[in-house]
Amino acid sequence: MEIRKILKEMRDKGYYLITITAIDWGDVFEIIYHLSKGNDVKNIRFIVFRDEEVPSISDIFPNAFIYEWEQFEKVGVKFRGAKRLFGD
Amino acid sequence: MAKIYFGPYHPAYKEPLGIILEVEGEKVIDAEISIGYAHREIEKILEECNWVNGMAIASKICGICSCVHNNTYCQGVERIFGVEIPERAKYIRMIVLELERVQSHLLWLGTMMHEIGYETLFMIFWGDREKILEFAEKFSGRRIAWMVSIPGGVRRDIKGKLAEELKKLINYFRKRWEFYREILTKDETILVRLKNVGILEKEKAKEYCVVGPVARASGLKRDIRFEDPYLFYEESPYEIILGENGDCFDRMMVRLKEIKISLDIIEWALENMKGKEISKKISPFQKPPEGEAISRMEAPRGELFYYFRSDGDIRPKRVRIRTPTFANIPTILELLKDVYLADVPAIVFSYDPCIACMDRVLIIKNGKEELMTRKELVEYSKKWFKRNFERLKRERLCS
Repeated sequence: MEIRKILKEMRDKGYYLITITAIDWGDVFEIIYHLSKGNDVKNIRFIVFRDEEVPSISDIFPNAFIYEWEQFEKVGVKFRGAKRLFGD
Repeated sequence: MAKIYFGPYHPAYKEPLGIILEVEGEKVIDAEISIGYAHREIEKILEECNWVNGMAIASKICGICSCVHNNTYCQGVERIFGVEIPERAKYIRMIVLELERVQSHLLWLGTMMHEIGYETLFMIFWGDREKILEFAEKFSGRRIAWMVSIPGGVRRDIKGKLAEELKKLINYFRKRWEFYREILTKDETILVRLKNVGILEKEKAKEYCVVGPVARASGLKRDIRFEDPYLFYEESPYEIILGENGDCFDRMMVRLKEIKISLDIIEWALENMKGKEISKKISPFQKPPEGEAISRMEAPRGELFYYFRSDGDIRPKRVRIRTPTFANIPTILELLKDVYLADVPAIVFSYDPCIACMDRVLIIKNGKEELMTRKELVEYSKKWFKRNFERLKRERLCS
């Protein structure tokens, strides 16, 4: 829930979501949300355990679902509530 | 209600994308996407290459906007290593970036005219683009994927006869630009196909974090050259171009006007270039300090973003790439709701996708599957517009 609270605050301050990065450190994943406003780029970092589900931010940033699914494919981190990408 | 599948494969395209449309009569009700068909795991491959040689992989991500990938990657590596490139290299990078923008926009104008049905204009735009590719071959040794930048600087210089030839090329394109503007703003068919079609409001563009000419056409001041200037863009004659309505016509005009700005920037860089050194060597076996860096540049399609993480090894721990077309995909789906089926090619192409989306169309009618090729869909579009031209002219141009 911390993730959602912080990102909502950033959105209200005028930041837009560039992308989401996930790094596999073995036991944990490092999830980085990259936000930008003008020439200010913020990398907001969260560490989650391998089996932990991360809440989706698709309602805060409607474009987040494609990045969440991309990182699910890359490292396997699950985003709870992310919209399905595939047509069927 | 019928379901139409656009995509995903076509041998002429670099990257495929599938779009599934739900159609009732002539109108599209809903749209969904299907991606992942050309997944090459570039990010994983870059983790296996060393920092310097990864430049060659990054430059091959896209054929049309290879130069900006090449430069953004090199800029990121230089930030990780803490290397400042020579001044002359910065001017040369600006010249090649803007030259690539001109050829990319000309390519898009050509394909857009082809979708509408203007084959002659398609040939004219692509014929003019050939002059840039011929110059690029003399300068860098390659027609596309120029790979002029290397980590630490650039590998070729522009001076003497080459600089004179570039100046002549700029003057040629200045004259041609007047002809492009004349034909694109006055022709009735182009106006009926593009005006008041696929309108993306400024607030929606802001909410969906849209980037590039699509965002600027909707009135959003989103351009990395404006918001977070790099190289010498702050001193250059760069100006941000904005649209008013956010329709397909505005997206075309933003790209057309950006061609003119790019020509001004190339001329300015040629006149103000100074220094002699063009690169500082970074060894492929050199270990960088631990840390992270961000590199972003304005590609012809929007903001290109690279994130690098170093753990002190000769190979990166993580490279994250966000391309501008990928960022704009969610809004393509939103714009495809409640539009005519014949408008779909214009709306999707106005985004200038660097991915194929319309090569195969599968129509499901009353439980039967019918296969339509991309050419047949474009033909359907042209015939539909011919039948409904007068009505659409009243609806779209007289309001």
